[in-house]
Amino acid sequence: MNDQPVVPLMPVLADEGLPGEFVRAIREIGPRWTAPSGRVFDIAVEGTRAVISIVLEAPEAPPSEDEIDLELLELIGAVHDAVGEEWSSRAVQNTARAWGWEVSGTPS
Amino acid sequence: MIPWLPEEVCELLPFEPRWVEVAGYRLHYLDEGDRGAPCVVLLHGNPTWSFIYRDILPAVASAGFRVIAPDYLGFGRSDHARYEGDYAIAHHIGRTVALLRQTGVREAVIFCQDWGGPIGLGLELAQPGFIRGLVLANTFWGEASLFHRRVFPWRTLHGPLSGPLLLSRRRMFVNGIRLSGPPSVQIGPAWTAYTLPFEYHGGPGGTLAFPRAISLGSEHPTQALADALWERLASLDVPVRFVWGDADVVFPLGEQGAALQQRLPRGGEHPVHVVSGGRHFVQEYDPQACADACIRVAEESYR
Repeated sequence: MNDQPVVPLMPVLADEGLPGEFVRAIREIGPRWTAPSGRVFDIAVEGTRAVISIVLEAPEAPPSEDEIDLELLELIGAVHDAVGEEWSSRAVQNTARAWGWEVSGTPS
Repeated sequence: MIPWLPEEVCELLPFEPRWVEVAGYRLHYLDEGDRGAPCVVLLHGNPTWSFIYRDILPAVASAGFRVIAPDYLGFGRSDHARYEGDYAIAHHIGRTVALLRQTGVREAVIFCQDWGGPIGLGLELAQPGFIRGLVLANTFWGEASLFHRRVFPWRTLHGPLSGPLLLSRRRMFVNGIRLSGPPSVQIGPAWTAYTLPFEYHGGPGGTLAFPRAISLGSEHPTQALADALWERLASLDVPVRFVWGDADVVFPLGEQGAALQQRLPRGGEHPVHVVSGGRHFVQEYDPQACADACIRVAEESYR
């Protein structure tokens, strides 16, 4: 019997056909990313496809979609910053606001 | 498929829903007017559906024409795709060809707005001689406009990872109707109608695939289609009219409108009805002008 604990993953976002610079940026962030809330995200990359999942440490109710989205916005902003310049994450946030998502924080 | 509509939406769209099956998907369309009459096909864009033609359809039908308005896969009352690849533009064109064949339509005047341009013009590539007349309204042929080349607020919207967050998880493209439509559709039953397809299916339908399909250059998968459409436009010698909202930031009249006007045979001669203050979804600003253009082109095409 395998006593290793199984860590369940809850996939929350996938994308494919990613440009090389994005694949490299995602790999630089590493296979795990911890949000300020302490929630851990698993980042799996295969070829040009990436799947981002929440690591559920124990059986627990999943967080709300809004919480997940805000943390994904931060993670994705970090990827965009790594690819582009420092303003890239702000461009993602400002785009979200321009299209009607009331992201908290001061618009840049 | 969405088998029913809320009563308040039905009141705005009092037409019989019709369905065809194409490649394993149920596609919805509206089909009004005399079945034996010459046909006008109304093609929508992203993220709208045949609902946007609710006032244009009866006006053109009452002028003596058959009028068909399809909903693409992933839009309106049609099914949503099981695979994102099914939203490729070539597949949208192929399914629209199949839908129209099932309705017995072999030629038509087409009204193209937004993605209705590449899909409608693609009907001519698939079936030479299909287009008898053309109404072009705030549309293009598949290549990026200057707006589409800007990082903010466009390319980041559908960019790597940000696209699936903003358009798939948050289903935000429907807000384009708020940004580019009149106040009357931003509330009440019209807003219910526009948001319903995505609420019902709990997903973004084809709204992420469309922006990603706009060609940004020779390496882009859509460029070959855009080149073929551009080539065909130069010899598409049919009656043409333009209806164009002059406040559209996506396809300005002086950019895409002017390019299309010059590319067509007898360039510069095609009548242009400018909808003052009209943004991208021009059908919502001046449906009567859209209907009048369809009728005039159909009368010229079929006389």
